[in-house]
Amino acid sequence: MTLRKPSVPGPAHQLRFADDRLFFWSAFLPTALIVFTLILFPLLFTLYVSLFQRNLLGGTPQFLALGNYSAALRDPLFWQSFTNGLIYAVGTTLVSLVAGLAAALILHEEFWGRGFVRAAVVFPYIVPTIVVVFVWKFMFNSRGVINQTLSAVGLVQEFIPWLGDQRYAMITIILISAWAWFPFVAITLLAALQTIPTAYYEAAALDGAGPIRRFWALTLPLLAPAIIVVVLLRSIWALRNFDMIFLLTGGGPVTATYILPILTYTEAFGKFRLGYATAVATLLMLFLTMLALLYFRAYTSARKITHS
Amino acid sequence: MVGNRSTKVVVYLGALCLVVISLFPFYWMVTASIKPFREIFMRPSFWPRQLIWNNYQELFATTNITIHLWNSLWTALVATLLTLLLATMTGYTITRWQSAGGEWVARLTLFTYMAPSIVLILPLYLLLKALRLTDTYVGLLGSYLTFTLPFAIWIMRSYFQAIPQTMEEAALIDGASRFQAFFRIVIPQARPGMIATAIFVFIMCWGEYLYPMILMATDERKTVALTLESLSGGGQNIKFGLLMAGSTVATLPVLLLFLFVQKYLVQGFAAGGVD
Repeated sequence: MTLRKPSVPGPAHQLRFADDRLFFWSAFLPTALIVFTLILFPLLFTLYVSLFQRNLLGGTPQFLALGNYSAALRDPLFWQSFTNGLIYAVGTTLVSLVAGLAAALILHEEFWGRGFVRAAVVFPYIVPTIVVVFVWKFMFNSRGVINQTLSAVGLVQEFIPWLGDQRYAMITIILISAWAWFPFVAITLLAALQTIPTAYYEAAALDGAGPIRRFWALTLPLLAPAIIVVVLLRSIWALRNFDMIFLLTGGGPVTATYILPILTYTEAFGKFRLGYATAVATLLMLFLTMLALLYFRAYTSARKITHS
Repeated sequence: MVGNRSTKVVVYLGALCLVVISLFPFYWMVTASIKPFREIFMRPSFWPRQLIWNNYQELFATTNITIHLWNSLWTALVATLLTLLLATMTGYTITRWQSAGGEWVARLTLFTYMAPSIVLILPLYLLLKALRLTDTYVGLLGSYLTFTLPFAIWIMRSYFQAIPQTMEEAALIDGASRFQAFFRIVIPQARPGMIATAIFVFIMCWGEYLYPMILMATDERKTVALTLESLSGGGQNIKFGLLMAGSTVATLPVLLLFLFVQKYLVQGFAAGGVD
């Protein structure tokens, strides 16, 4: 038995009490086991597989060293997918940031029915992705409500096949994804807005600053850390997302909306080229890791600011 | 204040826009599922002029949606309970023993959460195939844990960071065991966080598409996302009325959940900074 010394409470991180060790391991081991077998080991295995030419259906794997990687980096479709992914990420992040910020500013005001509006704003977030996809496919259909409305008010002469036209597919996908994701931005920024002391605004109003000036000089700079965190997170999410684009266009028309996750999928499950697919996946993962490191730094400093 | 009245007008107009943007697609989905075909495309009507229920009859008669709904429900519930149990204990552990590697584990957790599911599905598929676990619920639940667990640990961690240690310290010094202190003192304080996490995890699993699509082959074992996918076939001749009926049915359970627990959900967003 350890002798307890209540008079000297040491730092909390030490396993001080007799049963701490038991608690620590019974809490930690099952999770560690699951995370290792189902996530870390498979990820390491991905690295290993990417060094071989390997068919998903079987056959003897052939060692290629970094062959798959150099093949990927020389593949124009890889680079097109990479650029498309960037356009998609920047686009959705930007649109959902602007919409989310506007929503947060509105929800921060006091008005009748605010609770209902806030619930309505959160709603798109809980709708399953596959439902989001089909509802918007229906609305963006060439004879769907969007084209009907646009032509009724005279904005378009003939119906636009939004998702079927190379010129419009990406922007349509960006708008649909932004609809699904702006609630997250709105609620996160609303929470950040609520931490800003009202005294700042009262002082600014006394100095004669109007609402627009107060927004640029006060709200935006104070929100900046939260915005950076949200932007990084949303970009990472857009880059790793698969279902939304896969279900909306499958990467098409032709390759207009091809992104790296879709390239990975078609290589692995369409052409059964597992080695090449895992090499593409690893390159994607590498890029995401770099963004994730940026996110950690922003997250830590944002916390420091809000907690000081 | 100057401009108070015009500010009010802007706020109400903005609020109206938000409600329309957020809810119109839902309204359009529900009404399309009960409108006759000609009202869907030929002469679209805002208010349905004639109500029909054929789409729902066809949905339940021609697909396995009842079985799929049940599968989605129970697998999501089991995954949520498992995740909550594991994540609460782990989240607590890495917060309280932060310098004993806890911080490092926390980052590793978030890193694994950022691994795209499309990257993970390839090796996971091979692994589960080798273990003969593809097309089984065990395999499916395992695949759910790959995204729910890192997410839940990250959120629970930020909740535990906000709970002061003084109460549990006092209990420990008074002779309570760590288990007693955890279950009697920490858990009650962490309850809002646990509820929020559970809701998020349930919603994630309920709508999950990629993993069941790759892993499940037998129709009776599929989930509701795959029912919808099967309805969307047919190229230009998609039966949108039927598809919207399916979408409505698939949204209803999360909508009901949402109406009851909305408050916790909004708190949860603010807690983790992770969706």
